[in-house]
Amino acid sequence: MLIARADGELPSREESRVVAHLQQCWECRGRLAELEETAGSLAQLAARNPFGGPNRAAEAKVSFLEWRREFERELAPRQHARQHFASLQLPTLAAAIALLIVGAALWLSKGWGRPRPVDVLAKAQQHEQALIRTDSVLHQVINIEVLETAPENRRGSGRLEVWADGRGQRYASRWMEGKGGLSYAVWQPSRGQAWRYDPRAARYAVAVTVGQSAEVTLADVDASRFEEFESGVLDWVRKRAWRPVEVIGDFARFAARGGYALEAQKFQSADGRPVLRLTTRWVGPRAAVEFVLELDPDSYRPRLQQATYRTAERVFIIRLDVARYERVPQARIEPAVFVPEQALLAPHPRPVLTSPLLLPLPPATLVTQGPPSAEAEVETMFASHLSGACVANPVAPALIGVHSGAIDVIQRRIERRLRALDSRRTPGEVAGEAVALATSGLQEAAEIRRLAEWATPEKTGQLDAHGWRLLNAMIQDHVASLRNWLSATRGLLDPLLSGDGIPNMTSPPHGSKAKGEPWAAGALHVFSHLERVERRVREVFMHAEHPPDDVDRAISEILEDLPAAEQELGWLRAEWVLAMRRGVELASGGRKDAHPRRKRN
Amino acid sequence: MNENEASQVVSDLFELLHSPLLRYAAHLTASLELAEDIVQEAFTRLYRDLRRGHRIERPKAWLFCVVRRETGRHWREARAWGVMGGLEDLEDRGEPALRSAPDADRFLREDEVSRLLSVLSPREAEVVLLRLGNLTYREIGVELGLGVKSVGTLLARALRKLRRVLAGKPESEFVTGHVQKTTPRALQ
Repeated sequence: MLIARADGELPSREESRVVAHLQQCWECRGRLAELEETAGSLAQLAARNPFGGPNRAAEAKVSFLEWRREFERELAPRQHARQHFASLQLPTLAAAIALLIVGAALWLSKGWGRPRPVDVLAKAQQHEQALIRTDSVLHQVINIEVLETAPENRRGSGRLEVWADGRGQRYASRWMEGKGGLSYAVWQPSRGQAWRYDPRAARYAVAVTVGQSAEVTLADVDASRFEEFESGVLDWVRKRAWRPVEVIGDFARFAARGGYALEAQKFQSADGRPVLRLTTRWVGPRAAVEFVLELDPDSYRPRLQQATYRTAERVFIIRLDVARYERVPQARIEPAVFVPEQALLAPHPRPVLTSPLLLPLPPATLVTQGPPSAEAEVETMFASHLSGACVANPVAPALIGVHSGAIDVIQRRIERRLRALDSRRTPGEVAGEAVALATSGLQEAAEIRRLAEWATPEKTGQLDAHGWRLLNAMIQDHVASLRNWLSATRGLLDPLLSGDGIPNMTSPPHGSKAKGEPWAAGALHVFSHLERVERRVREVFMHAEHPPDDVDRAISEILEDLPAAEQELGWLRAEWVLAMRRGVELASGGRKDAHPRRKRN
Repeated sequence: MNENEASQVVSDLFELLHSPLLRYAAHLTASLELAEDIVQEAFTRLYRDLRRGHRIERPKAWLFCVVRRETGRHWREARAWGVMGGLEDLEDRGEPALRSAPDADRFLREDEVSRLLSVLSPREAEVVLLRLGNLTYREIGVELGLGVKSVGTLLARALRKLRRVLAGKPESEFVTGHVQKTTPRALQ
């Protein structure tokens, strides 16, 4: 109250009461004086020390004056027009308004300004078809947003970029989710050659066969939950691969279904551009769907397509914002547009370059006349090994295209474990990596098995020391790679098991081997382990026909197979080294110094 | 209002209130850069509104109100980004981060008034800062959602605390270098 009195903030009645009290009370007068003194000191201090230093206000003022100048410059023409308008005489204004009204009446009576929806759609479709069927390359960039506005607000977004050759020779489509990471892509640099990149199924782009893509429109997306709806849109992106997005075509197909009303409207957008809007609606007993298409009224190019799905409980919206829809001359296109980036192509999976034995072979050694000798065969195999082609043999043809989303139960399970581990990875990433690791491991094991099957006594008997060294290098490389894969798989899967969920597995590992068996038998065992691992990984992490009932048990079984395979691999390697030494000794006529010595890294 | 009149009003207020407004904004945001932007925005908005013919009855209180609202908006945005992607994302977008502002820390530590105010509660400090901007109790009350009496009480309590500090207690007792690092409750 005292400070309020000092600040003159007291109502008059209280003011007189306080003044009367102050006249009598020394203590309160003293307090008031103290408060005033403190307030005064503070005010002086603030005045003496402008915040941020004395120059800051001056700099800010300069900046403000610059802004003011700019603002006034922008304001001037508008004010001038306003003044000009205000200076017009009343009769002149009245005449102008009358003319406008007559003009507008004429315009409306002739039906101008009211575009017929069917005509607009037909013209727009005609323009789109002309654009798509051209010899040039069609380039589309579409920002896609998926929203749930009721019962809660959720949002997902992505960007689809399509390059399509009008002659159907070349095609590329990239789908980038959220912050811009590539989530799905297909490429076709020429007829008969195509790649697909799906990080949920494989880490790298894989070669695929181009099939006929189904005609799917956004109207086919159907779901009751946001996640399903979002995946439905992704499904639309995937299914319509190998053909450009027909924004108007999709809309027309939707509008052509029975029971839909179509409207056209012309208006100005917020940025002042004229817009032609087509709307089609369908209202059913339990849901209502509305499609909106916004076009440029001159070129009929689509700008925006929005589909709204409304039920009693939920509202979903898909918005396609067409950022680019243009023809690009063939000559201006870089061929690299139609091939996967280098980073998406599988690198050579084995440490072949570390081997001192792996020197490039002269090409002449690969050309043989008549039936190939074992020496020539091993050199050919080695050349293939050097290029990495040996592990490109498809060992699991059912792999590609099987995976179309993680199984819900397992996904949730992995999600929980990853959350418990504070991991930033998504279940999709883990699943994709597990599948990629298992497949690569199986390929290595298959290659070891292939070499073991080839290395019969008849063949190896023909090899000289050089042939043995090449064979050794190939086997050692595959063994080393397989060990890496096995350990990486174990590192990935081990944390996914919850402590209490591990069943007690005491059964002997599958296909265990008795010590002393030849190395070729070991190669078979290793392969059978890896085959089982790969099959189970696919059962757990991909959409298998028969997903496992007990995820913990399934992962435990995989983890049991891994050390068994590693053990087998150790024995195999030991047996191989013995066999190889004997072979080299025999081939070099018993000289001990003929043993190839591998440098270890 | 024509150009000259508007310019005169804003220039006068600039001289009078730039420093109190900046101190107030820096106190709320703990970021000198952001505080400067907000204060500049307040003055440009005032000028624009005056030129468009809007009547602004109490320009001083209006300016403090704009600063406070803008600060609140930035906090909410920062919190949204904090939830979505961390404050690092805010910095990636070129937005000043609200909590990591060593320059503001330095200025707030060096500014004698801010050092004094560090012994007060956030609400008391805010009332004092608004009073230093020559706002009336009613204006402060409207700004902070308080009654006129509450403003007086807070102010008196703050001045008593400051009195003790100024009366010669050891500096270490109050110069803590404290900078308000949390969202003011009223802005939450």
